[in-house]
Amino acid sequence: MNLLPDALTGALMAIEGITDARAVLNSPTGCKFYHGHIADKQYPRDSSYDPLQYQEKFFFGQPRIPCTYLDEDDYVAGSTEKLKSILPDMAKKSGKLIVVVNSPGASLIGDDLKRFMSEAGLQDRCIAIESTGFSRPVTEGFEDAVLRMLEWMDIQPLPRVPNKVNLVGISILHKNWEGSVSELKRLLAFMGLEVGSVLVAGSGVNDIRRSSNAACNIVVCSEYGLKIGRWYEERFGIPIAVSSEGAPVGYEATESWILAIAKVLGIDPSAALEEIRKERKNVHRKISRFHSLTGLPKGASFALKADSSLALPLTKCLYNYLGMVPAAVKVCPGGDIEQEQMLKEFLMRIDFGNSWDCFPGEEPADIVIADGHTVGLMRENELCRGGVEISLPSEGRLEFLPRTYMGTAGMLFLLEEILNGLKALP
Amino acid sequence: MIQIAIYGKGGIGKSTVSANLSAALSSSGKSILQIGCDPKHDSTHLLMGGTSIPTVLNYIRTKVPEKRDLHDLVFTGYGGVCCVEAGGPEPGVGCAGRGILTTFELLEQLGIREIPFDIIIYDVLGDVVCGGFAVPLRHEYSDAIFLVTSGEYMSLYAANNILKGIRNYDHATARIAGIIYNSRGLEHEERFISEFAKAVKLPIVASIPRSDLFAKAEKEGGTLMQLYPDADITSIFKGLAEHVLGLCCGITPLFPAFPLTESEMESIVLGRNIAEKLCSYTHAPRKEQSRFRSPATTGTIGKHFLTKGVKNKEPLHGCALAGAVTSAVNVTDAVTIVHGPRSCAHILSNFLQSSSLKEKVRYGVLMPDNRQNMLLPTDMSEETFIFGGIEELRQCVENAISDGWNTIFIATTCPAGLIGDDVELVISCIKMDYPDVKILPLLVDGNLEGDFAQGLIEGYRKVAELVDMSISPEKGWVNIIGEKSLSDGEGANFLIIENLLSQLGLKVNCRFLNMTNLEKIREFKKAQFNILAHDDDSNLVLRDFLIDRFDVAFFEYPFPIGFRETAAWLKALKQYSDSKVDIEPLIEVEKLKYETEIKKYRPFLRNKKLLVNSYSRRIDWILDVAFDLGMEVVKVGMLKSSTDDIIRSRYAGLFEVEYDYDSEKRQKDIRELCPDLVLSNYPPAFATEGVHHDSIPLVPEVGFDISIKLAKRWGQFIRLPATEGWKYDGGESE
Repeated sequence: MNLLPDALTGALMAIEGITDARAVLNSPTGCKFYHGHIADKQYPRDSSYDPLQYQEKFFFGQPRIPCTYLDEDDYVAGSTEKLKSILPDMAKKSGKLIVVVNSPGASLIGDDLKRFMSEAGLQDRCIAIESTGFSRPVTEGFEDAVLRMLEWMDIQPLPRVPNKVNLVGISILHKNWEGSVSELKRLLAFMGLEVGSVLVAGSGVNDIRRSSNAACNIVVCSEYGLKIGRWYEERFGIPIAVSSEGAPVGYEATESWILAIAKVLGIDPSAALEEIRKERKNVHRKISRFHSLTGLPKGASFALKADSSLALPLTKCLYNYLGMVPAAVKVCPGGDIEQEQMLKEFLMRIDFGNSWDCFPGEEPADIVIADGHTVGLMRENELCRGGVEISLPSEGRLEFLPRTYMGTAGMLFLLEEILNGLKALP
Repeated sequence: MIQIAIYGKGGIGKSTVSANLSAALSSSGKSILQIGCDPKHDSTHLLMGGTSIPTVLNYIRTKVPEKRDLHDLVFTGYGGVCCVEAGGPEPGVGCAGRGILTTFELLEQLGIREIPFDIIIYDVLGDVVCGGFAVPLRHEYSDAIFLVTSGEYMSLYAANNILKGIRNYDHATARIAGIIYNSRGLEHEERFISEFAKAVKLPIVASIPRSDLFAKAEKEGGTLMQLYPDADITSIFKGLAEHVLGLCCGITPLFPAFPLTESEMESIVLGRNIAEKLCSYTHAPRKEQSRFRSPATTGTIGKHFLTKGVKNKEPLHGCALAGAVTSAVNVTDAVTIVHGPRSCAHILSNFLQSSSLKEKVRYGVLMPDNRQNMLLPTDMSEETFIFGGIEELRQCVENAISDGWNTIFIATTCPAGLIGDDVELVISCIKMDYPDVKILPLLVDGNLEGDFAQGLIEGYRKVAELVDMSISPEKGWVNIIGEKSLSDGEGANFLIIENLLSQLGLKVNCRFLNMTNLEKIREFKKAQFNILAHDDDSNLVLRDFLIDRFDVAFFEYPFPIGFRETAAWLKALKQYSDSKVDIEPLIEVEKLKYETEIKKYRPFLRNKKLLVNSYSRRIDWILDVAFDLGMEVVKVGMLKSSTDDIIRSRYAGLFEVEYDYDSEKRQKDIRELCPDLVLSNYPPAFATEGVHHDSIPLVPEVGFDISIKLAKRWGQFIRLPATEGWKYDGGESE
């Protein structure tokens, strides 16, 4: 099984999710190559990844996340020379913000990163994260890094724009994040809402500096965004819209999400709900054809491993809407404790309490919903019939059509993957 | 608010000075915070009535983050002085420096900055001014620094070291408030301290004589201010407090650091004349220096098997941990424990799984699931960074044993190495309870041992310990050495080689190492000879190691690529293995196929200009086809490679070679040499008018067929649009 990332990855992806921010690792190249690869794959900002174009010092053939290539000498004597030389170099090649992040090993040296920034005259463009937390959940590293960057941006209060909202709690670490943002923007537009900033995935420093004019911060995945939403609430009094049913995954959770937003903003949700109702009707016809021939998807089993904000609505959706058996359900570390508790209680209420906190379960499930590597390896080793890749690392399939597992478009994607997977049933 | 750091050698009296100074300052009505930054955590002992307070670092161990509260860490002592103790690990384990960093981070997170203290005093151990213990020197923590020292040489030496640390931070900025001279009552002590102070251009702001009152106050558990307010010695601290208060209002001057060199220290403080000594040594007859001579040894003891990057001290590509783990996870019936933070284990599991899945997609060969499942992380936390991770490691090893693993590798990350976790000790303890379990340490310490290639070698060396030395070679068996197990083409390549070997009646004994079980490793010496998969730098180092360790034979040539190499390889192998099989008919069949295809595509490619740029120094499999097709090789550009140096080609001299090639040089060559086809490991994604670009695989297919595939591909390529439409759509980066 895949060993999950930790706070270091969360912090780096938070930084790289801002269009004009650059993460610089104070680390050996071993920490750099993987993160440089993931950042470029999830959010390609350069037209090429030709290593020939990134042969200069610190980049090691990758366009993203340069590093100080620490070695034994640096661990003993400190990385002064490398830090002194990397910062001015990066200043020339980077956008508005540079964030220097210590790797776990570098955090033991105790280099005074702020001093180097100040000496390079870059204190206004650079911040330092001396330790992201060792083996702490990825979500913690993400939120803490976002808060550090928000503090640096010195966001000033702005007059509220009534129909403007921010999406918080979505990151470039989320599988299909671009598709999800598009789908959520589409649904919000039915309520006359416009998305200003996405914190943080694909927004720039200037966009985020204007984010204090939003009427509401809408939490997508609470483990990635609740703390950020609360920061805005405390600083600027911007209310948070968060659904107790988790992220907008599946029809019911998407409706709950819409209703939570409408309630906070005091607006009419009916157009958005009508869109969901229409979509459900269309989908009904298609599921009914498949069901009448096979009796499926009812009775097919699923094993699920995901963040709590996704696991809760997905489990409910697959159980309530498709009549599937929750054979194994596990949430990733760093989840929303309330949502975890709700999920556990839900499974106990429906007499599947034994399925809680286990993955992939004792028997092969029909459908596995997890990170791409887990899905790929289980499928190839015939430990499941079909799978849905819902988080990173990805199995590596090239995808051009916009995809998401959120909103009504996301439900279509889930149905395609699940029902086609079940067609392989003996 | 003003922040003051008080530094000095361990045992010199910093804590006594700090506590008495805080007590004296408290009488001025200022709010004071004293933070003890010494693992022995007794800085605030006197202020707290002779009792110890809980330390920050112990608190971290016992309290979950969301329940941490500043009030659990800050205690009020004599005169209302607030007291905090950082604490630290037991001597000999963990990293006390990291502990100081963690303490400061936690105190800030919990909001200590929001309490309006007038004066903060940091009492810091100054024996080792490493990054961690130098944190209080940072400008955000100290506005002024005092050095506490006696007149003893080692105390002055420590004070001078602290000055060096300050100099590194400050250059010429004035931040030192002066020297606090804490006398030991030694002969000439005052002269030494005066000489030192004069040389480093610092004032002695307080001279504290030896006094029994210190011992009495210590015994009674209080400060002098509290117990002997009218004593003469107490007045010294009152004076020092006045000096500090002067800092608050900018009256007291500050000074820059002018540390002494070691020879200056000896000459000024001890009065030794180094120059004279050197002079006398010059004239004295030279004695032969008695160097240690080791007893005669055999085998690999003391021998270095270093890869290019490590040998030449180049920037390290990847880390030895990844290399060592890559070797270890290819032992199919062993488990590998990654002793380090989760991020290291995640990165490793990610690339092991990616390579398996890519192999499946491209070649239909899936690695057995266990290669990914054979990694266990110890998930080192902040706590283990400070206090050491031995217990977590031991637990992880025991869990692996209870899961049924009998062979266990333990690979160490940078943090595990930096804090000095004693892995060998864990192994020896566990071996007492589980004598039959093999536990092999891979002490690469992240990249402290070197780069990825060096890690591979270290992994191979450790696995080699599992080989049965008593087994003798048997005719007809060969070992395959140094396959790139992470490359997605290597599984398919092995099948091709296995087929070629079978043509000569040879069988594969052990793949060292690619999904190899312990039995095959044990029987390594059964092979008649060994064949290298690749002859790059790391594999040549591996070959040298195996010859040195096992005195085994190696066939001269690595896996062949393309028609010409494969034909020559088979002929040479037949001779080397003394095979009686007639290989000529097979070669003739392949030759006919090759020549037919070359003839078919020559009309399209004859006289076409080819520019090659590659990481690999072995490109004759490309050049064979190009020259046979009648192409003109205008240049070969060699990219910087961490694994190889000089191009090896039988066509040397027929084309220009340029090293340290880069994208600018490639663009210039495209303009000036006008090639028709440019081959690169990574072709550019932008439009270059009139030029075809194709890729060179990093691990090409071995055997005969690749030549025909290349000829066909280029023959069709050259008839396609030089620039595909999508390439015109690429905008500039970001």
